[in-house]
Amino acid sequence: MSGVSRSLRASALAAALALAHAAVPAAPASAHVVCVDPGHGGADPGAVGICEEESINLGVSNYLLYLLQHDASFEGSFATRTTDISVALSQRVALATAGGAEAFVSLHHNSGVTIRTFVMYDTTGQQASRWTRSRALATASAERLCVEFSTPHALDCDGVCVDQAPQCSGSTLYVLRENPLPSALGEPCGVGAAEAARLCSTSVYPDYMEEARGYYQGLREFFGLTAIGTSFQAAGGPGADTLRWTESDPERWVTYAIERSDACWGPWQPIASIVSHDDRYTPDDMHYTYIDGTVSYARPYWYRLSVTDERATAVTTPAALPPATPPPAPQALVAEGAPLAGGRASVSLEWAAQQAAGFHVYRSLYESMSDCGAAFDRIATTSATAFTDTTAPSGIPLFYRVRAYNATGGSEVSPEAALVVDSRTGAPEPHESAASWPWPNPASRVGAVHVTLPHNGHVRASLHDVAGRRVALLLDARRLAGDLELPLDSGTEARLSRGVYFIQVLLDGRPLGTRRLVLLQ
Amino acid sequence: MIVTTKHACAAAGRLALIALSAALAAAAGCAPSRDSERAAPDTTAAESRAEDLAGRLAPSERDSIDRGPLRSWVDAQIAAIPNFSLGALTLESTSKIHEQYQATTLDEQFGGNEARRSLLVRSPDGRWVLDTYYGMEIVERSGRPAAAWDADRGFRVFDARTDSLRVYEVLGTTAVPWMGAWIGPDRFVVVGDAILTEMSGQPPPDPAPRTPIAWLGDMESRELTTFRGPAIPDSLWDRYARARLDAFAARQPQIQWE
Repeated sequence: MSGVSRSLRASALAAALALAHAAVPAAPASAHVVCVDPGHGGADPGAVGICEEESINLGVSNYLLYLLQHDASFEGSFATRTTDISVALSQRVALATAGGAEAFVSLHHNSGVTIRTFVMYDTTGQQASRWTRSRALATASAERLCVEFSTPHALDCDGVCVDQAPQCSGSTLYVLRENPLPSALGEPCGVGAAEAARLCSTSVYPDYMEEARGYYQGLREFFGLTAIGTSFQAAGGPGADTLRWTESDPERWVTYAIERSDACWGPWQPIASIVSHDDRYTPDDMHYTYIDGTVSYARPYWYRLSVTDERATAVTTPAALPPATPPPAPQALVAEGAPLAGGRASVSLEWAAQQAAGFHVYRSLYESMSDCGAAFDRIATTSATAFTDTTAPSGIPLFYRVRAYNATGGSEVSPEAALVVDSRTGAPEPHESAASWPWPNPASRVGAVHVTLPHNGHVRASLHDVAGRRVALLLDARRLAGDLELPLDSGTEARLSRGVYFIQVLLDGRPLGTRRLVLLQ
Repeated sequence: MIVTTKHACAAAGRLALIALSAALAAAAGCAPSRDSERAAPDTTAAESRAEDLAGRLAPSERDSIDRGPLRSWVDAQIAAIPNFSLGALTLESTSKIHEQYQATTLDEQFGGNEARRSLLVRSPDGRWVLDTYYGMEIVERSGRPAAAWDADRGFRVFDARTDSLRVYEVLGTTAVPWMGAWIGPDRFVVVGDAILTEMSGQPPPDPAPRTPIAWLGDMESRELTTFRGPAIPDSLWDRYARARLDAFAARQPQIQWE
């Protein structure tokens, strides 16, 4: 037992030190701070199917965190992890309480399509008042997940259960049992089954957004914040888009702010501000209609409605106008970085483009699950095919995209460029330690290529065509440092054709690099 | 991963039943009852099991294998489920073991945590290390090590020769492996309880019942065979859950099990 006690004391000390250095934000007095807990991570991938559960948990968590952090009602909300790292169960609970959270939502995913989607809470170990609140949180989350899911997950999505019940987990779960906060743990289904094969065959998991919105709306309901998201609708028409929404509290006096964008992630342009009870827009103080007659192109527009501390988004269908002829999306976006003083970095971007009058440059600190899944900010507009970003932070992942525009509108965004600029001045960037990979190059399309890993870690290697589309996920697992063989016939159903590709390797979530690879035969 | 693939293969199932029955019966120190033989759906398999239980397992081989952990599981099922017998375990599915090679070491996984390491089970020749407690961490409670459960459970097999993870069966939220044992140089049994996830390829009834379950793994052929027991009545769930904790405690009394 002495050995056990020593190791436990060492673990407790390490956890305390880690907590002392954790960047837990201070809780604003007026906001509801939520701790989002993506399950598993690091050496623990969770359920393994076509995708690893931990990456799906993280993807949903990052998007949920984005929604919370962009809502004043949840300012200061945070996550127990935002990258692929291991976090002990006890540390997850400690982080939640140390960060001043009012609620704890743990995100997991089940691995079978016949398993009901359910949200758990615990009734042991804490006072009844706490688990009554936990049940309310689990119920709100489950109900809103059910509303938001439009995929096969919608089947049997109404489950709320006590974790130790035989139809649920059959055990008391630590993060629920030992948590002093109202706590819920969600288990939507579909990580490893046939449906997941379809969902995960692309580089995105489409339900990230639906699922995150479900939790988000559930949290709004739990904290008594009126949900307007489900009532805000937009429809395209000849020369105008029509927006409709319903006010759930016709007695209140508020101002509705309407914003519009031609991409789901912005930038948002304010187009109208409407005071409630204005009979030009509402005949009965409940149902509102606003017509936007300033649309210019036959393409989808995204609208956002903000009411004090609430926000909802709706998308139009293309209006019946002459089709826009925007330029093609920029290609071959390359990013290279160098550290600057003060924890900043200089990132040089270059891309190729045609028929463009100018370019918008976007940056995000979150990996893009999809166009709408990341918090991309427009950082510059330029007429050149190069730009240097001198405001980027160093030492964390950076994701860039570029969009071309001309007089008729904007293009689709370019494929993403990702990098981490090492914060230690003069230190080599990770990919420089493996400058010669991949080899052989050119390679046989039915053979394998090798890369060199500078250290042990989780490797995610993917193959992309020249348009940036992922054509194969070659590996998504932990590997030892040194030579690593990547069979080119794995992770893709169809045999690769001859041509030029790009192989991207992430090591522990950080880009090792993206290299050109020529496939022959 | 939840084992849902069903390949009804009579021959493989029969062989698997022989091995499982031998292991469990040896653990329980008894042969299955006549009732249990009548409960078996496959007559040939039942005959093979009876033949096997009559003495196929040589005493010398038995002596080399530690089946102690299985005994407490068998005892718990008998104690908690009315009329439970080994023969009530029926073949549910066979599937390929998904080998999930990972370059992680036992030290990386368990460090100096002796309480957690004490739950690992080595194969008779030391080649394999079985961990049936994936999803459990050890925390300190009142100065003693205590089990802390994550949402997902599973079992893993490490290759001691290369000190790497070879097999990784995450069973998900709905299954609770209790313990495991090696019944040969390359064959292991893991026993536990789990929600019924399918019935003949169809979704289970709602609510789905929880049942005893046993997995027979073969590291040589990479096959995993799953056996199901009868449903645990809801009215007896508390008793069953207590029996499970007692079995855990019998396995490792130094740990507080909850």
